[in-house]
Amino acid sequence: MRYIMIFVYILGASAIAHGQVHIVGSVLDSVGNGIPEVTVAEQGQASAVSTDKEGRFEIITIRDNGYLTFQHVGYQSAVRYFDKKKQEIVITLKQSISEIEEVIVSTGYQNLPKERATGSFEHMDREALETRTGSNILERLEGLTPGLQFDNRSGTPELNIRGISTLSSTMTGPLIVVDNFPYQGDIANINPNDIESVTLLKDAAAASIWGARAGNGVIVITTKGATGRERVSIDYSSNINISGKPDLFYNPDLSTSDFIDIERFLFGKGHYDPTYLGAERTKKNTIFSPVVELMYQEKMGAIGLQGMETAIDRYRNIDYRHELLDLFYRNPFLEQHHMALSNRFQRGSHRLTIGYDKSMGSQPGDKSNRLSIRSVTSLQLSPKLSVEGRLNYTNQRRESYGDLMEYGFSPGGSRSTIYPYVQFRGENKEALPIPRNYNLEYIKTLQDLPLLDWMYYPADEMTQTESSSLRNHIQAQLSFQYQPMDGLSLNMLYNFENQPFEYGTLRGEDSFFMRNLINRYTQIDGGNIKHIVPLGGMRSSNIQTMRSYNLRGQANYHKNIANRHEITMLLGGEVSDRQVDTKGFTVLGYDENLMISQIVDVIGTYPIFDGLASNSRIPVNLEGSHGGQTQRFVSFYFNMGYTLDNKYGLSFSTRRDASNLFGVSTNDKWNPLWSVGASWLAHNESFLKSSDWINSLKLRATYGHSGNSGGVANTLPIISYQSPSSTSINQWPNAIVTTLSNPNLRWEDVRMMNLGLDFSLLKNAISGSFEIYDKKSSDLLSTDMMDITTGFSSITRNVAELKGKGIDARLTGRYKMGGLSGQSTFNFSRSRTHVTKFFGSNVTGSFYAESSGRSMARPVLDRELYPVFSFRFAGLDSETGDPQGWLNDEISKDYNNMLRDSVQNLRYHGTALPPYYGSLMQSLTWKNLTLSFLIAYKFGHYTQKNTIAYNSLFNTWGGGHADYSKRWQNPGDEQQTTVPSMTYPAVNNRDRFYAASEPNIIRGDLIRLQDVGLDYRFTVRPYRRHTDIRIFLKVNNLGLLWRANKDDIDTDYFDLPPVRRYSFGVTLNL
Amino acid sequence: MLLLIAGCSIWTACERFLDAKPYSTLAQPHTLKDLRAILDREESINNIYPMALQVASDDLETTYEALTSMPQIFQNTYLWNDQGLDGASWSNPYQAISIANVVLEALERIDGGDVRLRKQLEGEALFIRGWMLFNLAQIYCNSYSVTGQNNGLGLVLRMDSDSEITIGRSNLEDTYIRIFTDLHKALELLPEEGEFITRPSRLVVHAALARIYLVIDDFEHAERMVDEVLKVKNNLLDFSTLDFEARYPLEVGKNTEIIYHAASISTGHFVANASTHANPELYSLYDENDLRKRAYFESGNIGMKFRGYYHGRMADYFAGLATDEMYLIKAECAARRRDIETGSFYLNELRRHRYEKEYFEVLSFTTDMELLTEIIEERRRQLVCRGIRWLDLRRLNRDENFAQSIYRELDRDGEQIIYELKPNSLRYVFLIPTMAVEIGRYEQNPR
Repeated sequence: MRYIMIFVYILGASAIAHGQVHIVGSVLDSVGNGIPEVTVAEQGQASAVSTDKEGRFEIITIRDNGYLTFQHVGYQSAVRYFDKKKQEIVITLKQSISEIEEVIVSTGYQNLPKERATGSFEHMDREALETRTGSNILERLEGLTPGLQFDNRSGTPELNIRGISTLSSTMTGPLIVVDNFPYQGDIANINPNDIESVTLLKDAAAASIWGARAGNGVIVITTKGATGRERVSIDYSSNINISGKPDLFYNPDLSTSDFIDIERFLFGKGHYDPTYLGAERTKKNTIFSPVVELMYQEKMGAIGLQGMETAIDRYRNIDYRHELLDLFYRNPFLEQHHMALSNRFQRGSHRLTIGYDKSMGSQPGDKSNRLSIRSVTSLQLSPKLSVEGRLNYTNQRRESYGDLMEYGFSPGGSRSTIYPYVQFRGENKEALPIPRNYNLEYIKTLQDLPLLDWMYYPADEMTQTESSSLRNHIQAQLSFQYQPMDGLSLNMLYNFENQPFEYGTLRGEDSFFMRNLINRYTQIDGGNIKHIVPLGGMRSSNIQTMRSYNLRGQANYHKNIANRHEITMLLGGEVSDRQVDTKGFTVLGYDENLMISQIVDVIGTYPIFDGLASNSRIPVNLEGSHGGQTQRFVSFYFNMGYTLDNKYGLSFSTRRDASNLFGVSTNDKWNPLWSVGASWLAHNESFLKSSDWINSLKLRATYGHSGNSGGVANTLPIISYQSPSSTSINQWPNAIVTTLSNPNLRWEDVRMMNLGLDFSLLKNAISGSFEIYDKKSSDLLSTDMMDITTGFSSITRNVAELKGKGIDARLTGRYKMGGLSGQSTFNFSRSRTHVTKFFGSNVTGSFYAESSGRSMARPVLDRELYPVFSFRFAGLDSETGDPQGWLNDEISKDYNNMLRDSVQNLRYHGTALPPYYGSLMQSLTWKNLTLSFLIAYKFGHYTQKNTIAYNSLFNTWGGGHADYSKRWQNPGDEQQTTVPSMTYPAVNNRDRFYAASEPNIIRGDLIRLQDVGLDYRFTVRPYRRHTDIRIFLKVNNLGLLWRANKDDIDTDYFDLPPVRRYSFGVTLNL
Repeated sequence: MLLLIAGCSIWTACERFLDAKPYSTLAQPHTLKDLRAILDREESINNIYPMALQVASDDLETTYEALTSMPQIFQNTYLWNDQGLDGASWSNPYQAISIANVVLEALERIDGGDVRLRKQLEGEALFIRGWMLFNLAQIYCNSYSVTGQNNGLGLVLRMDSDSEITIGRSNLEDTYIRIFTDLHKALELLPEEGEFITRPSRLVVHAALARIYLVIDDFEHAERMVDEVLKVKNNLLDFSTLDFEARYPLEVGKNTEIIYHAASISTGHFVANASTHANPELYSLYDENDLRKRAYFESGNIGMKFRGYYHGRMADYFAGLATDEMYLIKAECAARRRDIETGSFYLNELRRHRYEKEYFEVLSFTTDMELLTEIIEERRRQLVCRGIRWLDLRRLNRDENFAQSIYRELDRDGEQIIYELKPNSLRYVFLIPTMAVEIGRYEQNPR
């Protein structure tokens, strides 16, 4: 890469200037005074000049015609057309607070003024992005724009633009393009401070240039180039963020006292007898709680009744979450520093940025840092040839303690969670053992044997297992632009990315994992001790290397004929290749200091200590794993725009893609897609031009297709090679038949129609946009059930058609009252997607009711995606407290058959994805001080809440819930509660039925105060230079202002809601 | 111009560029190596035997509390109250049949290659198809006998690997014709003895045919097949050499009786449950000194817990073939033709390996009926949790001397509930799973 940079510099130095149009002009403010230091640049070119004290400028362009951009802090940027006839330009810049920006949007293939576009674009500039905090650029977009939805329920945000247009959960997200190309690395590599703007391509005309990958919309991210005045400028920013500990008390867990009462109830029923009094081996492999242990000891006369009662009562006051928070959680901390140096000179510009982030996670040992270095150089080599080179490097390092005690810890030994009165430290702060995998009493009896300590002490375990990862991302991009004649430019772009990602885990000899593994394979024969698994640690290392190449050739043509007909054309082709290789290996007997390991026998089977399990191989995959993935695309595209009289616009775009889909003949790999659009700039009509209250009014309409790649027919079965599993008898490679022949598949197609209105009224005091769209996604692929007589239960088929309709609206008001000025933006989106055709088969009702709103894998005709279904509920039986439902229109307790009822008989509530959402962004400025906040809202959706599941509670300790205290206990309770009575033995299907029935469906509607911030901006002039300083304080995740449900549930999250985060920062521009 | 040239060169290179595999492990079955790999997948070929064959038999029992905590399909199968929910017992063997058909179709497509390997692959595929059909027929079809009337529906005889099925169920006669055609063709193709117990060979096919002929009362052919087996492999494992302290005294690597390795999957919910125990009546059949008492059982909280998995792996019963069964088939066939001497010889040979030397007593018989009764009882003692008892119940129910009802007794809070499965009950034939019937529109078994 270094050579490329040198090459660029050498070429740059030898470049000779030949101006073609000499433009002079001046830049004035609204009162008519010249504005100094306005940056004037020819659009698409690197060089720029600044205005002098009177606001005058002089620039020599290299083209006959084009656009000049005018930029200055505090003023709205502007774009003006120039050609040979128009060599003198006088322009008035308005202060940014009261002017709509002249926005340049980027599609990743071209930059065009938003005014001229027919498609649906949402543009977020640097200032909008700076109002948010967070280390990930995508996080910052939430709530900023209509039409972009964040589904945060699973913990990691899943984005969708204008709803979902596919059924494959891996393909729902929009395509993310960074600096011209789809980004192949981890999006967390990108430092948000490096972002100039983000553009959302929402409709077919905007996105169809991305063809078969644009079915879900596109997010185009443009990083900063060198901007500003013609001299060296420096930007610096720094911030710190502190968050709260996770709210472990958010979930209504079963109280300890109730838990103990249930244990005593079960003990009375003899529930533990089969395992406690049964086969020794079963008992050794089963975990019993201290309370159950005490009760058996009392029963066998080892302790007295009084002693037992006292001991049990002591446990009742313990809630392990307190100690968990103390010992295993801390306040996350994040600091970010960023510095940019940029230099603009006559024939080019250069910008270099360095960013460094450091964070500490919510659990001890969890830390990460990110170093990012970016360099952009643009050079005008000759009047006809310019070149730009980008070089980005990111280094992300992350470390954490593996196997750390946490909320939701699963101890094994037939239990899926730990009893709530577990204690991690004794009175003298000494670490206490807790059961894991085995009966603790049994493990205690082994202490005199020559084994490693087999007890599990969570408080001491902390540093024994360390996981770490290191991700280096390198991106290099080189683009040449050659202009052989007036209006035509030829571009060649080459992009290269390489991302080696190493991750691994080191388990020390003292970790429970190792002690357990070694002990299980220890053979004691008299005084002879034989370790089949050698003493020492275990180290696993994995390396995943991603390499990606793109090459694009493109011709742009722009011509203005007779000042009436403006034509732009673009024709190009592109190839891309992305390869991912993975390698991994694991060694045992590892010595951390010497870095040596030992050879072990992974083929032979060995007895497990004390016959705890059947003879087994060492269950560690030592021989390593290798794999590779290749993704290739070849695409051709054409795009054309025509504007008549600056009033009527037309656009057309087409693209053809092919990819290396497996098992398909080449002809079937190609998929053509197209779009058309029209726009009317009404404010340029003579009858509106004189209107003093309409500043701009634009109508636009588009129609077109985009697609989703993947899932094309295979005429032969597909097999996939596997490494042998450790339980196989023979250890040679084998292959699974993954898919039978599936010859009739087609590409998914998304057809979208978009109507939009952009307006700006009353001297731009009110502006906004309103769009309606209609979307049809057809031939959607989904796994469909097949006749299990084939031996396979599902197959991918084109089974569904979706129709989506929606509205995106934005209204911005700007106002001034004395010294106080304000801006309010209200975003509103409505997006509903229904399944209009479905050729697949439906599975049993329990699937829909139990995965209520959590799965979109199985669409249901006439319903929305992520459908929320429940079993119809007929109250509790007044005699027994059993939940009752409906079967064949009769009240029933036949849980088995109700679970299998058809989906048509279930109650449909709606979708789990909010059909109405949006935000209110408010900022108030008084002198240098700005107060801003963002309120987000989501309406019209449903979710299923958790409740008690007796069967799993009894057997595995999971399924506990505070609903227990509301359960039916006596006849009459059915009037007040829907929670079923506790019965013994518990009936699994009774629990399942109730959990998935109507009473547990709640409305999702909520209003959230996303963030509040306070900004102070001022300017100082040390060394006679302007230095803009901004100091800010921001609080994120302030919580809910309102929710529709009465259960205190934050329906945006399945699990714990995010914690509050306080940020403080400063930025300097000089 | 530049673009045009670039475009052209891209276009010509395009086809090869786009032929790269998206995942390195993906393939289409184009080579014999691919077919070998498909048939070597134990998880799809060897470890797929239906849960129903074991859970429905009277080897093991469980309690009401334990049963209610098990998944629905185990409750239904255990109480012979099948509701067509157990898709896996049907689809897993059928998946192996599909895989066998993938191999057979690919062999027609692939030219050349090592002739011996081609024959072996074809033989293995045919064996798997025939043997899976036989196993399925024991659950979803009426019992079949060469001496009786064979009415009723057969299986879906799938001869291709298409993802759509257009045929319906065959009749019972055709199903058995298919089984025998496939297995006899496999005999012609396979090598005498396989290198590995996971791969079929002539030995394996003979052993399988011996079991099939016994089940359909064709004792003459059954004995012929056993003789073929015993010519090649007749060793028995001396139980006195077992380590009774081990978690499982029998082990797949050391159990030299195993001819073909096969096992069920996901039977664990039932057999591994702490309350599931041996049928006390079965346990009472063992002599005090019978080593199987210690090798097969350990004491549990309720009765005796079974641990004598023939392959030494918990939770999933051994469904393969072994020489012990061959001795019992040989003995039974001899007894059926009234050859008391041969019959008692093979019975005693097996028993000799199941006792400590000093306690072993040779049994002698005066009538063939006495001998036959003892052999049938010995089958119960020896072939526990092997998926074979269910087959024996079905075939012996045709003989009034051996026909018997089996029962489930459950204690629901002091209330005794008894379920009975009468000989030749319709419940001996399970319902075709609803998941198959709903899409394939197959004719359902009568209830």
